[in-house]
Amino acid sequence: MSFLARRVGGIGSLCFSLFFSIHLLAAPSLEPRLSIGVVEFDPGIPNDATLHRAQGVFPIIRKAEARYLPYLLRQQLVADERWGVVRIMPSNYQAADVLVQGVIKQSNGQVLGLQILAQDSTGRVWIDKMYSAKAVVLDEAGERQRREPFLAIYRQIAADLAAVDALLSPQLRRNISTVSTLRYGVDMLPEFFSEYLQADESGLFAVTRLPAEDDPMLARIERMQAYEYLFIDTADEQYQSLQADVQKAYDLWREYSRAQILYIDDFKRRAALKKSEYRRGSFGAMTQSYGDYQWFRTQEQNQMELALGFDNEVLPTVMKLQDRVVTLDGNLQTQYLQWRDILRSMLELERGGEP
Amino acid sequence: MRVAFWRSVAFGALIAILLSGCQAKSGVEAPRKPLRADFSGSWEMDYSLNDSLEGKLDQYFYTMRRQMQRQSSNAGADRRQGQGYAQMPNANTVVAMARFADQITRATTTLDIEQTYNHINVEREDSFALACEFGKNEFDPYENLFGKEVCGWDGHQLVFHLNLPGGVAIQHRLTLGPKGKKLNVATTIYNDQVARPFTLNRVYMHFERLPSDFKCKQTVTKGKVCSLVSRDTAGVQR
Repeated sequence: MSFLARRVGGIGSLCFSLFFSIHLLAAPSLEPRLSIGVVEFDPGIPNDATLHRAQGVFPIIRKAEARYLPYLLRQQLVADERWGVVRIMPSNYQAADVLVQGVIKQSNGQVLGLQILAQDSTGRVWIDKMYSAKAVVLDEAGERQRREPFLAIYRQIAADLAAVDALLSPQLRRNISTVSTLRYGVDMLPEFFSEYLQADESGLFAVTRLPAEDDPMLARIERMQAYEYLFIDTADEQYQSLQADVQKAYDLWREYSRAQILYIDDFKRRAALKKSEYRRGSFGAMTQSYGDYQWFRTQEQNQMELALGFDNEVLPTVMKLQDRVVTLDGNLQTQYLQWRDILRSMLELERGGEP
Repeated sequence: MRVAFWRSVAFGALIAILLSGCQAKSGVEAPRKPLRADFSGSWEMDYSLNDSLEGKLDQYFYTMRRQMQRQSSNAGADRRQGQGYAQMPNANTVVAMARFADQITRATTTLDIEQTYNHINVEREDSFALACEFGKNEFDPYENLFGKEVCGWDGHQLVFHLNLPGGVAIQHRLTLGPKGKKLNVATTIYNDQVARPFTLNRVYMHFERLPSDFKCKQTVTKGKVCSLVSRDTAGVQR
């Protein structure tokens, strides 16, 4: 109990300012903006390890991508200046007005394929779509560009989200925000908040009635939500430092991987056009066939070595990230669960119940 | 010797069937039960025990000639002694196979082998590594644009078989010597222009690599990064 009291006291002042600023943003004179939560992507690693080689999947790289790629999407959404807060979420709790989840279907430096699902807090699906794009490495003048080669994919996702948002009236946006708060309340205090929300057969949530504006439980739950954002924002800073660390190694790995794929494609084209100049079974023909095979296998082994190099550079950072985010035990997802448990206990304390 | 040859041919035939996806034909000898010899360690070529290319070619043509003579005599045709290579059918292709076998094995003067119960990795100097997973399917083919590979145990021998486009196949058969000090790598070249494959043996002897003073790791941004290993007075790495 004293542990919780200390924790609450320690972060109370920070949350007060956060809470205050949220209320300022939500002033009625301003056009309401929806907050977005981009959940860490599913790395899409096949369970059958024997498929990894054939599909060109390097698990450790995919895991790093699952944390890194949501950041690129977040950057695009922030740059659009259309949304409220855009956060990277460790798990898919509906703590944001719009939740974006993704599965990495393909990522080899040449092609990026993401399956994206975006839903607002009422349960309405905004996007459920496969996005795929080829890397763009040269600008219009034919010069090598420095920007993200798959920028198009993030721009397209952001544009699709904006297109749905544009159809919403201010009243609908306010409704989504209200449902977010109430769903958070249901999650934390179901016995109190369940009566305010109802889900229909298709799983869409609607507000049945609203708590009074001065309802102390509503005030508490909004405060808890602010605490939750505090955790996510702390994690967010760690993700940003991860991005800076990983970016250089990741970009190089991706560039190498892409060059290899382009070479193979080029080889296929040449092989389809050209007939061997050597007689079947001759020394030249055998050397040529073996040379091609040797080249491919050497490239394949170089790529594996490079993936190992990527592990050597990225793994300590990722581990450091997970250790550093909070002093709670376990990885980020576990810590997030623990944080939520603490918030629940705080609520119980405030209500005078047993934690 | 003769038994080993026919086993190699039978294994090659079986692998070819596996790689082509056909049903196994009756009469083809199946690989023996795996006995998983331990090949791990470092090996360097023992030139004194290697096959002589010329000797192997002579032996090949002698066998072919004997076979032709038997066929000729059975058919009642004239016996001619002392025919040169040029009179042999596809003699140029056989010589090409021998040159090819020599070329792809000559540069591999050392082997570094890492082996567990389910996996082996044969690092070859100047060539790509031969790797094999011993999963549930003893012979699980791996295919890419440039060829098809299959590997597995044939008794105490480890076999890597590679089918290449153009009717060519390469088989490496690794056999450990009786005391585990020698390693024989028999490389057999199959060519669909010639009935009989050509095999060249390379022999390696075991050696201990000196412990390196450097500990290296591969990185993407800085390439291979090495650091000096500190040792205590007893030479134990710390």
